[in-house]
Amino acid sequence: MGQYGVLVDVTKCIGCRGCQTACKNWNDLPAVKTTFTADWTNPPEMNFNNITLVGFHTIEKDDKVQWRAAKVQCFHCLEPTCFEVCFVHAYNKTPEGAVVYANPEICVGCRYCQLACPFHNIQMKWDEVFSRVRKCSFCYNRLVEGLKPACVTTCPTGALKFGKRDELLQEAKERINSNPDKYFNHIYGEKEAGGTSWLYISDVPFEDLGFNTDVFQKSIPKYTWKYMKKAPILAVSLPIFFAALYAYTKRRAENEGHGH
Amino acid sequence: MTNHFIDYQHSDVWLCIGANPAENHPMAFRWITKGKEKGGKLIVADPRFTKSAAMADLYAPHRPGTDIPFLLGIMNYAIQNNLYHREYVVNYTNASYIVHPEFGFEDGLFSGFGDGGYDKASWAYTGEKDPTLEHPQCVFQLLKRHTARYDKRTVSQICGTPEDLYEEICKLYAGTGEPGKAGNIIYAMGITQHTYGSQNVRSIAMLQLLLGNIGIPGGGVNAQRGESNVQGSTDMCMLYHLLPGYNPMPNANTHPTWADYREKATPAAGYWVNRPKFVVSMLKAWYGEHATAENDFCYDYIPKIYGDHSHMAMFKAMAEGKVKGFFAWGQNPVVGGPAAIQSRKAMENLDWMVCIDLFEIETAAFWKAPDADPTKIGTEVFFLPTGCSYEKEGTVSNSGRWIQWRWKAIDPPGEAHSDLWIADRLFKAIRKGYQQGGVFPDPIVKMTWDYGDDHYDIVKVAVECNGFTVADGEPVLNFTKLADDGSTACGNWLFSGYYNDLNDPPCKRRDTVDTSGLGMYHNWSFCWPVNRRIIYNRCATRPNGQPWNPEKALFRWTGTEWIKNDVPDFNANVPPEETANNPFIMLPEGQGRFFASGMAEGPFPEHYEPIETPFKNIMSKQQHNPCAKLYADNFAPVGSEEYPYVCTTHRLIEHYQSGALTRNQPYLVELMPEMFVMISKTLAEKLHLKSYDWVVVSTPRGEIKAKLGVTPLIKPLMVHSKLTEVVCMPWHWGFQGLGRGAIANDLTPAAGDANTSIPEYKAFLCNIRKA
Amino acid sequence: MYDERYTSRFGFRMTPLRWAMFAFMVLFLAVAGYRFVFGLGPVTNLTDQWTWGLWKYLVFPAVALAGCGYGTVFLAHVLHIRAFYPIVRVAMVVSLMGYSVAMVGLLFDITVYYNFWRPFAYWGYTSILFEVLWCMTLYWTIQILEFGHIAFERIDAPIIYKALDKAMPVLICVGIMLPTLHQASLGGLFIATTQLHPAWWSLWIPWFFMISSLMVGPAVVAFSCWALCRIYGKKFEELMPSLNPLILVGAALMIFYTVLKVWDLTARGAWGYVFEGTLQGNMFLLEHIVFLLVPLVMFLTPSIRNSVGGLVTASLLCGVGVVLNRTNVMFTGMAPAYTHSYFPSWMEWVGFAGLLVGALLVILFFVENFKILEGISDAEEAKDSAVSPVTVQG
Repeated sequence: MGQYGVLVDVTKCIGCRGCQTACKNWNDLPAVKTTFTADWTNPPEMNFNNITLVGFHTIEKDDKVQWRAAKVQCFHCLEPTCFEVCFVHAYNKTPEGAVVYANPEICVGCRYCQLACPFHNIQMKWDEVFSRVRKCSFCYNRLVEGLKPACVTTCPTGALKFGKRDELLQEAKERINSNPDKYFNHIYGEKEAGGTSWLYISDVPFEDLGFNTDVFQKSIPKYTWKYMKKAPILAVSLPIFFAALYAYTKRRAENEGHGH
Repeated sequence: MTNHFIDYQHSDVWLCIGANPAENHPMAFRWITKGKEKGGKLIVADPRFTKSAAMADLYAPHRPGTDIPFLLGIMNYAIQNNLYHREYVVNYTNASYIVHPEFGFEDGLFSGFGDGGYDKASWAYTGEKDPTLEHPQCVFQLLKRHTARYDKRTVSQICGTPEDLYEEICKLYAGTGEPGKAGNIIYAMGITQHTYGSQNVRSIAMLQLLLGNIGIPGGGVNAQRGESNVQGSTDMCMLYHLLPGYNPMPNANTHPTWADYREKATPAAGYWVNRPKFVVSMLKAWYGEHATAENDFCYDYIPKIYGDHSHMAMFKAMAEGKVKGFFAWGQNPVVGGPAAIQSRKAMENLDWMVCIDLFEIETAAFWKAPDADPTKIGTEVFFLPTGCSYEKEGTVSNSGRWIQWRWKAIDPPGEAHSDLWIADRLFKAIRKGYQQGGVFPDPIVKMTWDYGDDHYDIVKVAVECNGFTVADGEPVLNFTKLADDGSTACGNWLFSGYYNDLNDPPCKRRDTVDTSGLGMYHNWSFCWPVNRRIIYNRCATRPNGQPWNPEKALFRWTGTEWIKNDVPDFNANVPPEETANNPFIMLPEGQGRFFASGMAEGPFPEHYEPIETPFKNIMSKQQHNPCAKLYADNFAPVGSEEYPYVCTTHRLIEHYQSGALTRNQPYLVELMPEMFVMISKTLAEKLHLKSYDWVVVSTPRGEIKAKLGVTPLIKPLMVHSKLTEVVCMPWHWGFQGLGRGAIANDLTPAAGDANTSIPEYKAFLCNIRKA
Repeated sequence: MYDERYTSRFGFRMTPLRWAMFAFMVLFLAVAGYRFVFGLGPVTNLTDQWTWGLWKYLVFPAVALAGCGYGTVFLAHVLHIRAFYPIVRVAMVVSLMGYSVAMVGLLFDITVYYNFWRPFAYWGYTSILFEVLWCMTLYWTIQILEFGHIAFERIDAPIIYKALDKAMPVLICVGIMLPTLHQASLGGLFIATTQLHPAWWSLWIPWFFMISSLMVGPAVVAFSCWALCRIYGKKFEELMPSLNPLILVGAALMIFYTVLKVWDLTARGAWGYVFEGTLQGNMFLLEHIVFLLVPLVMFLTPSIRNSVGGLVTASLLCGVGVVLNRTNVMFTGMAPAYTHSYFPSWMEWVGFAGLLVGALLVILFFVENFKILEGISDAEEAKDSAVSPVTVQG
């Protein structure tokens, strides 16, 4: 079974923020207190109760201005770093493609997942003593019932399209190829962090949408695992090596002692 | 709307003017997006670079209140470059009609102008026609001469739209005049809320006629209504000058008796000849057995209007102490009405007020407004909590005229009850009072009110609106079955047919199968009239019955019969030639009007400046609409130095109207928490202001304090070679609810449109300074 | 300082400074209580971006400097280089307290602290942090046992002492493996944080962490000995012969580290980031020139190395260099990726300082009550050698 994904076409997003509200609705997240923001992005950044956020971006070039809205949430890496760095397996990467913070009860609260997330899309409930993190779950509880994620369901213009990731990737390529003058030739999420389930296409460069285009282009877990693989070997071989040294130098020291 | 939302996908070009569907009608944008995928082009004209503008292929900034030159300029371009749809214009419009020889237009005024307005004698047809459109006094030539004054240079000077850009837009939009092409004009309150709002709408209709865009899939004059059921409420006569179904309200002077009404309110030709059937059936529904031919079906029981009872007139009367009691039912005039400070003051004169709403809105709490002194206000206020649309059953009519049944999801909380419950109890209590006697109890006591004793039965209400035969109480099929002899009763003829089958009422249908192939979905709810999804649809085909665009064929004449993909707005039992000269069946002439004598300020739209403007009208000596209704005199003078900036109000997707509902919704308050004002970077620089500063915006009506947003989305406009700054602010906030903020309408002028009295919310003058 | 006369009871001299330190510890305990009742939000200035703050940071320099333990123990107990016998116990105690600070600091930092044991039950084996935690915990345990070996020299419990004595070689061999692994793994944690500025982010970062923790060991030992000698009026010069070769080992490692850094930057083509003139570039240069190359040259210059002032100054520079490296990796190098700024709250500072002050008090107590500064004599080492290493026989 192929993994699911969502194709976000920024050129079709009208910034209605239905997705942001639908997400809160479905996940029963309380509203947070905000104040006016000049760019209308509100709250100004993601937080524990806003695990998806529509950011508004004005792009001024010469005399022209462009205004784009882009929804940001967990991108659901194909090989999620958060899953990889969690030392208690609080995360799950489901066969459907969702990266889910599935076992909060065993979470220690070390926040390595937050630090290591290449997109900084994991949020913490800071105001609680035994605080834990929260992230977009791809509406996993809807996926298993055969429903689309709440945000996709609510999108009026089709800016969010749910489907199999490989098919969506193909469609993204087709959309760009059939309209090369319009689209910026980059599918964000195709390669970022080794590929993500959420894919974005846009008619403006992604850095103008506040996306980190400097993100690692390969799977981060591949590297951490490459390192981790060595640990057991070292754990066994080093003591043996040290013991050998111990024995050897000891004997030499004793011999030297006898020499005295 | 002549068309409907799903039909937007068939447009080749959309012209959004005075509307911001991406912000305010996001579901409409679903279909624009679909159409764009097929190659459709979107033009947006707006003072601000809106969310819709952000999605547009061409965006034209233009000064608030300059829609008429913008639209007439496109007409001029189409005529001068021969891009108009000649076959359509000749056959389906009154372009060929010859007008009275004395009709004329000089320096901003049409012939017949006098003290009390226009004497319209010279605005009549002679009865002759010139299908060649060459006669100098034919409508087309008059139109050509009238619009010729709106060349692109002049338009650019008035509107502040760069000339090249404007020409590009003219070219693109006039291109829809090609037979088979569909252009769609989408408008909303940006068009209507002016002292010449009706003429703005006229300009749109005329442009669409000129380009052959009415009655065809993807075309239309598409008013996107300001709230989900505002269509339904106007259909049901929310407006003071109407009876249900757009029948005129009887007037004490002109229609004292049924005979007068029947004679004067019924035109000689067109579908409105059936008006007596509709009104008699309505009276039968209201007075039942008491309504008989002998007593003129109780026509005398209906109140007659004797003057201007519009919103602003009513508040003026309130200020003068003439209005003693006031029901604010699902309305929040303290936030939503113009010159709101004065309105609040006026309300202090009330003896009592009943406010029926979901929350204790600003109107209910007017006596504790920040600028009010409760110790000096004697008004007794009753607040009745009601349910929102998900807490009651009934219908909601959308902009596309679809009457959709909504089921109740949950009960209203606490002591709140549905509006119908309140209306039912209220009526019964009043009737009980009148049964004890009164000055004139009959209109109340004899009214039919048979919806159940303790709990109303909403189906009975629905059947009454639908209409039924008096003899057996069976619902009528539709309004063609209504009679003027008292044998039928019908609450609203337009709704007739929406509940004609008790087991399967059309308004409850939810079939997603589209048999038309054009997204008409005839079995999804009911669309008035008679489930017709595109009105004036005789225009969808050539006079000979062949579709303009075979790929989007709403109808096709095979030679022997019509192939139909919608409910025809013409007699489909006869060959096309017989209906070709009567596509606009509601009009006596049966043809679309470029020249409309029914308008107060002229048969053609003409550019006048808003009541408050920095500029002299360069089109004529006539500065303002000569027939505009002014309800106050606190307006800034032309070119005021005290108030140098053009100000306009707008809406946000997060909030609904006066925010009564949405400002109590935590999620929405989170998204848009407080009142703000947006200005351009250049103005901010000039005034040494920056985002998040508290600023005071002032007009002659008062001043408000709000946070400032400086944005690249607003840019100054070059109007008459002068850089003109526009100050934009939403009007959703008030002093009650979770999210609070200043009331934008404290600033707006009490000036109204000549025909409809709609206030001029969208263009006035202001000043702005750091708080 | 340890005094044979105190045989019957433990003692701790109180001075005004020590009273002040204890007073500060009271404040620290209050802050700790507040933190454990109300959580991190009200106490710290952490945000979703700066999710690892001062307390997590504490682990890195503390463990790096505590690297003095395993390096010196390796030289003295595994390689049996007699020259290091006098200083090995200082290294061990400083190291133990370094790890103690790190472990308690971690407990302060995790939000669901009652779940601290979960990683041992739910094997998140893919996580480098998993390895770090396991190794640190085990090593800490071993260090406690190693210290127990010292402690039971004066606490009269012969059975325990004997058992510890027998286990020592095993503990030492395993105990050196563990820090080798987790010093590297502490660096390995930052493989996943790809937002780290490229001047520091490298797939080789584990080995930089490991080598730097080794190379700073001699400097820490030298500085600690000097400081303790000053406090207890012992002649530091007497330790110089032991420290001198140790410092040379450190210098050799510093050379290796420098070469590796040059190679790494070259291979990644990252020199541009070093000279980009940003805060990050400049901090990188500061770290590597003032606090790496300068002390290296000082160590390699015999006249400086052999002078007390030169040795101590160079050791201090080297130690600061490693601390600066950890600071740069955790803060300076992360900052460009974040829109927020972070400055720890006063309570974070109190927690930070309190842990250090507490560790210092414990070190002083140990030094005054156990044979630490005296080192081990040849005789004791000989006694040690009577026990055969178990692992080798297996």
